[in-house]
Amino acid sequence: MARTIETLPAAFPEIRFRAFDGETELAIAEAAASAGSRPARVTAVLSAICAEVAGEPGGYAVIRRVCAAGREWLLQRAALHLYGDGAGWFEASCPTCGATFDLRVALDRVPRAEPGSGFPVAEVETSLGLRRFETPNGAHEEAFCAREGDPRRVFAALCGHAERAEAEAIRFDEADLERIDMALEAASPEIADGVDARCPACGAETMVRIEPLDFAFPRLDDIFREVHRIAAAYRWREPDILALPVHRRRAYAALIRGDARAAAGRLM
Amino acid sequence: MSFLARIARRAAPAASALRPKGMARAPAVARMEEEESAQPLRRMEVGEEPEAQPLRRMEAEEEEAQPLRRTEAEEEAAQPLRRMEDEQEEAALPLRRKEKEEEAQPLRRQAEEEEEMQTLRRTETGGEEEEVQTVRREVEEEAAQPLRRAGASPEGLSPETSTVPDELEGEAAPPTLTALRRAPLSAPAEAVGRVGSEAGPAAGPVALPPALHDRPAFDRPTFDSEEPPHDARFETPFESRFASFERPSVQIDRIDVLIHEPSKASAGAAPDRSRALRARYLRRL
Repeated sequence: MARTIETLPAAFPEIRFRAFDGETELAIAEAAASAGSRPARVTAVLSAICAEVAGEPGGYAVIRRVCAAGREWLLQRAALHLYGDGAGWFEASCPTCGATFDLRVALDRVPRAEPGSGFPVAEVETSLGLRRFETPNGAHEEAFCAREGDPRRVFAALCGHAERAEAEAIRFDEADLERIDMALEAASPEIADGVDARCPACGAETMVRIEPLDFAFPRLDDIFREVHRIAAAYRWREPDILALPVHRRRAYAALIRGDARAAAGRLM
Repeated sequence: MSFLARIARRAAPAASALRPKGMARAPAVARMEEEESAQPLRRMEVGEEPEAQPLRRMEAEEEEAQPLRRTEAEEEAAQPLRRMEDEQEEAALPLRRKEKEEEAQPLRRQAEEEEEMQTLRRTETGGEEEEVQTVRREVEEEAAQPLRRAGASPEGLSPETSTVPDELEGEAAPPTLTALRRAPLSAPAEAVGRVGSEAGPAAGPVALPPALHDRPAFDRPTFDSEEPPHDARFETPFESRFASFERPSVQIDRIDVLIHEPSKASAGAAPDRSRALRARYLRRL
């Protein structure tokens, strides 16, 4: 019996974000700071921020069904939603010489490629016969991180539609793996997840990753600091503070900080 | 790079990733802001602390005062008992005074008797002493009488009343002032020796005081209009007449030198000077 196709047919699904209150922000921050593989963290973050994905209620299951490129696109969307700066200046470190250099990246205009025909399934003529492979999704990515070996063979085992895909993956030769890779690339959507840059110091060509998990999502320390500040000033309870919309919570925290600075100025 | 390899690479942590400009410094800035905002709170705490101190002190004093108050309450409760004890004490005082007075009477009497006895003893011993001394004086007087009688000339002559011998008739009587003169010469010599050491090393122990040179030459001969020879100019009549007479010389065996050393507080830089003076005197001696 063949495996069922789980990947969402929408490569870049429409989403609806959750109301951005303290609880959501705290869930996103905890997901971004969680331990585990990057695909697992992406699943957690998108599950925390997306209330609805392609018309379905958000959550781990639906996020795992989104194709790899679609997940990265959702992550960049979420980053833009929270971070807000679509076209800002960034900096990166050269992996060759370690120098830091600046570059401008428009996160709202990251190039992407629409999926090919047959998405989310690619048919490949292998040495074992005609086989169907599902384009990698979140579940495949998470599973991949738990395995070792040639990525092509691993994904062939994970994405094979056949009931004995695991055993057949071992038997695929190099040509089979090359054809499987090419077929999946042709069927899958794609999105840029990095920027090619030349280091101004050493001139080395390098690819700088766009990693929204590193900068776009709220940090636990910031949330705790604001909650602490409001709780200390107004004597509110944590659930009440976290129930506030984030912009109101930040406004209160800024007011309290301003009062503290004013008091500091009076004391000086 | 193959498609599946790119997906695999995306799943792994990035070696180099974008980060907003200044993001590396953002946590430090946030910490600084937090620190700044926390400063007033800390200052307020610090400022409130001294204000709260009196209250705490009052609380502490309250706790410390509790035992005292309790003692006061106990004191009040104990007052009737103490009053009774005091009254009993007061009532017992005259009795005690009487007892002590009676006990002290014999002792006082004994002391008075002792004093009387001592007075008597002193009177008795004083009378006896006087009697003994009178007797001793009489005995000594009687023993001295034969000596006096032996020294006295049977003719009742004395150096003052005796006649001048024949061999001395031609000579004039020595002036009675000579003895007087010698006496002042010898007596101040000893005094000058003591004073001279105080005045300084220049003044010798036997140097004549300048006042003696200025004395009127009552014993010098009256000069004629013709100037006398140089060697006889200062001859006194005594020296010319008693050339063979040896003048008494004063030998000083021991000189008591009293060094007044100024105190250190008043001398200041004098200790070295006083030490030098003392060393000089001791060297001379």
